[in-house]
Amino acid sequence: MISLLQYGPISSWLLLNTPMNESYGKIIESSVIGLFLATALWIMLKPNSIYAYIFFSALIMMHTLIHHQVGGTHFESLTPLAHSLRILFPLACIGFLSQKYVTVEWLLRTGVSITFATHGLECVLLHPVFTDYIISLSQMKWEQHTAEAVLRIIGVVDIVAALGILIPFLSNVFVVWTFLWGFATAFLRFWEYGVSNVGEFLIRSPHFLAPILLWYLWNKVLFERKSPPAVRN
Amino acid sequence: MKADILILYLLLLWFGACTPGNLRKEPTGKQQVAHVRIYWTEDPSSHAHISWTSMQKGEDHYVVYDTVSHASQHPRKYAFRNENSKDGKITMNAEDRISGVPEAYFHHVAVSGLKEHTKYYFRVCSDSHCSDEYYLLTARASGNHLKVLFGGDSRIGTIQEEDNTPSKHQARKKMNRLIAKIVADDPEIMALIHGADYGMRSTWKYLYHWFNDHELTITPDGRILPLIISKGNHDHQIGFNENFHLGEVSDRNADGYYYTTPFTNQIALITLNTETSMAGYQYQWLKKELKTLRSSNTWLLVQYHKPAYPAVKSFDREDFERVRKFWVPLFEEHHIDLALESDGHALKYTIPIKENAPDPEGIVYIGEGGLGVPQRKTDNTRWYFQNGGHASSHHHVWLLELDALQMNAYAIGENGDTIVSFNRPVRKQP
Repeated sequence: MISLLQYGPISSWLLLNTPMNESYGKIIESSVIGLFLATALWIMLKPNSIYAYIFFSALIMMHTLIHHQVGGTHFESLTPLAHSLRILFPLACIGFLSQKYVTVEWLLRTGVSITFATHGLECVLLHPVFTDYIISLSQMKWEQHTAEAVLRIIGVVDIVAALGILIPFLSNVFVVWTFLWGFATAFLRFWEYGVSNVGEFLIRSPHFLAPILLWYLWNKVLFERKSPPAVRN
Repeated sequence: MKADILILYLLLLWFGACTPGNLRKEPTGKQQVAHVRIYWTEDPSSHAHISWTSMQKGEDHYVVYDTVSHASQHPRKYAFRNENSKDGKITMNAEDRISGVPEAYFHHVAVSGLKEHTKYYFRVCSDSHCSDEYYLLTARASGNHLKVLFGGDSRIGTIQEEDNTPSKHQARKKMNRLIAKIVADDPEIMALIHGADYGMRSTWKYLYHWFNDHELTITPDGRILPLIISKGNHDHQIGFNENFHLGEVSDRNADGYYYTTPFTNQIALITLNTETSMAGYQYQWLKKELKTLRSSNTWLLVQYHKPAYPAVKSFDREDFERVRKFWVPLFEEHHIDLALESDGHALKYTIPIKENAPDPEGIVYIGEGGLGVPQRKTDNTRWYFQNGGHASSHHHVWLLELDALQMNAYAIGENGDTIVSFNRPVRKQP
């Protein structure tokens, strides 16, 4: 919702590509914001309703598609892939509710993997916003080439993590990394640019919530299922 | 089961994002040599980039030029001839091909050693196909007088004449015709500073029409107003680098497009690129450039695409925060005279701002993109538009008149009327 309010991609697309004037575009955008709010309430009030999660996922997917169509961002062709986890996370919640844990596991693995691989690729391709984050965190002391070298390393690590999360016997290591890095990069959004950018943090919350859920799944749910029943005296 | 089908459907939709959408047919261009334009970069009194599009690959691409007209004569009559410095086939993706825009080739020729404030008549040629004769007026090498136009955002969306959005396409054409008229009426106007965003994307489907429409800025007597371009967030594709090539300036430190244009020895414009690192090489370059230029220039202007003080979009957006965080402190330290911004699709000028507060000694930010892009509603409640600032939704181009004592700025609307104006006295040199 905050992202829609700040960036206005729906009204922007309608203004540029249809005869519609801006005020009608804004009404449609406000309606979509209302739908997001209503769906959030729906989930809060009826957390077991699978339709609420499906609808939520569809809304996020629509947001992604419109962002992609409007363009105007770095590496915009990668946008749908970068948003994978946001779209898949609500679907994983459905699997969790219906106790289809293996489905949940692979939805999350796939989502984390695609999202981290995409971000890794953006790092390797030297996303300028990421470069500036690094320079800014160094208190403007690092030169651009140093920041870019660090960014390339981060990119490679992200891609390795994206692959590692798919390998069952290595996953526990990478789930810790993806949680930490997913949280850090989301948190950076409003750490660097103020509380008003909290929406940018929240929209990335699946980046660290999904690894937590995966860890929980492996170490609590699936592990306990595989464990032999306790011997009764 | 129902849930599984729904999930599958959503996944298919999501993957659909990676494929081109519905496209319409475009008319095919027939001109062999078209889209003639001029770019100014770092030495407008003696240097220019002349660019054009040819519809055939050809072998021999060149510019002929002279200080006297040879309009009805053979190209050999011109005193000077320069071969192209960069050319190639314009990249086309599937969407471009489906849209019907023709395959074409870009050509760029750098011409140097020109005399200051002189008319140069020229023609561009690809093999035996030569354009009509046009002329370029070079900048003065000295003085503190200047007239220049500034505008941004001439992108439009679905760009068919025959579809149901003709008014949105016509606005860009109307603004371009207006620019031609303004320049014809006042030949002392030296250039058009363009704040970027030329198409929805910088792909040929959009740029082909942009260049077609840009030809409308040519005056009836054949004058082509030089462009001083910046790069915007809708200019990320390869088509931008191919068609807006500026020589070394394009390649400077990875994704360049930041440079200083000295209109005279006392008036300079710094063009910045909001689409590359703002805190890296560009930041270091800007620091040095401001230090050098401030002491030697009566007027020092900056232009860049994304605004520090937006009129439409959220003030708190990360991309605007970055401009305020990395660049604005430098602008304020070196007492920039005017900041030219785009991106918002609106008309604005702020009150003078310093340290994020009103200050008579601060910087005025103008903009914010009205060269044909559909206009958006502005947020007039923002503090920087109160008590002397302005924000509204109008197609417009800014006319800036600078002299030894003051700067006059006029926002000229699509009908040629002055919508708003303001003036700023020359700063006492700090």
